[in-house]
Amino acid sequence: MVYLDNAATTYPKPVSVYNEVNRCIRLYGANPGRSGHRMSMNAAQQVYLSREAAARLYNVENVENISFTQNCTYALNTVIKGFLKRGDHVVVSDLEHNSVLRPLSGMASQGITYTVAKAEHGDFDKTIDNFRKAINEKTKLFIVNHASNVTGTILPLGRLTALAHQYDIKVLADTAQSSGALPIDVQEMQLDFMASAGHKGLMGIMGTGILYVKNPELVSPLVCGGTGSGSLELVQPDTMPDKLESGTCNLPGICSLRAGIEFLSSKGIENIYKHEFVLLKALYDGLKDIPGIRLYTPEPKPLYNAPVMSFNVGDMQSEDTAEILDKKYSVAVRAGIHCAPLAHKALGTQKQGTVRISLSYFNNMSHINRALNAVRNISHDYRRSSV
Amino acid sequence: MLKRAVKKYKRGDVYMARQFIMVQSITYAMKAKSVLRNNGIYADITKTSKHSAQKGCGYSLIVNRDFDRAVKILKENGIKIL
Repeated sequence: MVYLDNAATTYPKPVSVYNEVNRCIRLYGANPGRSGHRMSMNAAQQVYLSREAAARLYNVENVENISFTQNCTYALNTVIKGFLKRGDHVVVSDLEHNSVLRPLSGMASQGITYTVAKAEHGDFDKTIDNFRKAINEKTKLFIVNHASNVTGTILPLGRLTALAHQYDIKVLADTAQSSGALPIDVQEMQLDFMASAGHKGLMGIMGTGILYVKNPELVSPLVCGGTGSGSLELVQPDTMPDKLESGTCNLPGICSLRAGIEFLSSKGIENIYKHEFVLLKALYDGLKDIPGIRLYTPEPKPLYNAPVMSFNVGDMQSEDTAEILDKKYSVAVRAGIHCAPLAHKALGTQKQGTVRISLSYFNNMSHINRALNAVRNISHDYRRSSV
Repeated sequence: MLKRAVKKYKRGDVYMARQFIMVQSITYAMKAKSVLRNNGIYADITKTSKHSAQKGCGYSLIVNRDFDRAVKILKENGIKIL
């Protein structure tokens, strides 16, 4: 099978990730941060090393300001529900995922409102202007999808943060699709909060996510419980990361995440992006020359495109195209509405959805050619059947 | 006020004094150990027992020498000592 569904989760993972999960379960299978015996201490050491690896990746100053979550959705919800107060207003882009839009919509009853700012592909100035126009006197937070999971559109995260801070507004960055694909420096970008998935570009296994919080005192925990610290006290500790990490952690997942990050560091994020961009451009060039193809991702340009591309074959339902790609050509893609309803509204694909191809470091040009040949055949058959 | 807990234990035929530095969590214990190692001080981590009777579970560093310097380094690195 040619796997081109890496925006959902990367596959395959580096061999070192598989090995680390195996090693972790066999050698450090105790509960980290709970007991005093050597295996528990060794397990805690593994978690700490993973935290350090994540801190290095994002250039985080205080390693304890990295907390591990079960996914990016959990990390985003922690900030949305733990930072906002009654009456607050939020500005989001029109490329946000339901992991942002649903919690925000659910907080309407608590007096939380939000405004959608249009993200203009390839025009950072316009995007920033759209965010500026959406600010009002109650705006407390920008939520910015760094890279769209539908079109791969990159938003100017650092510049949006600079704008927000002029108005004393905090910024929550959703880096689910950009972590591991694009360089992210939380200090240079001056991010207040950053959420990421661990199992996508970071190459860890599923059940992993990262939340960076610059000022932990601004966020209340989403979940409270045992932390292995101050256990006689009935109030949740306010020290990080315990404040945001209740209950037994996903040790094998966290260890896998460290192995994934170390793999990325050994290759270099810039090199990975260059490799994926070459494939993305080849994919675009191939698709645009196939009669009847509707492309929703503009021509890829460095800085403006993450390795994600959406298209349709004429009026075909996107799920039908994906099914043929899978069953007849063994090409795995995702189709439908990619949990990003506003993006589909902007693209006019609410009924049809889109076929999405998303790349990883492990894809190569033969994968692209195989996908292009398959789409070419599907398009040919569709046009012939439509005559 | 910083409490210096001293506990004697036997290594071979020699009794040695171990000095404990209690910190807020296992993460801070790991961070403190790393910071001290970078400054040439070896520390081990142990689950704190009677020192944490007021608050419950906690973790401490065991430092066999350079105790005062270790405390100073940790404070300089923003690690709160209980």
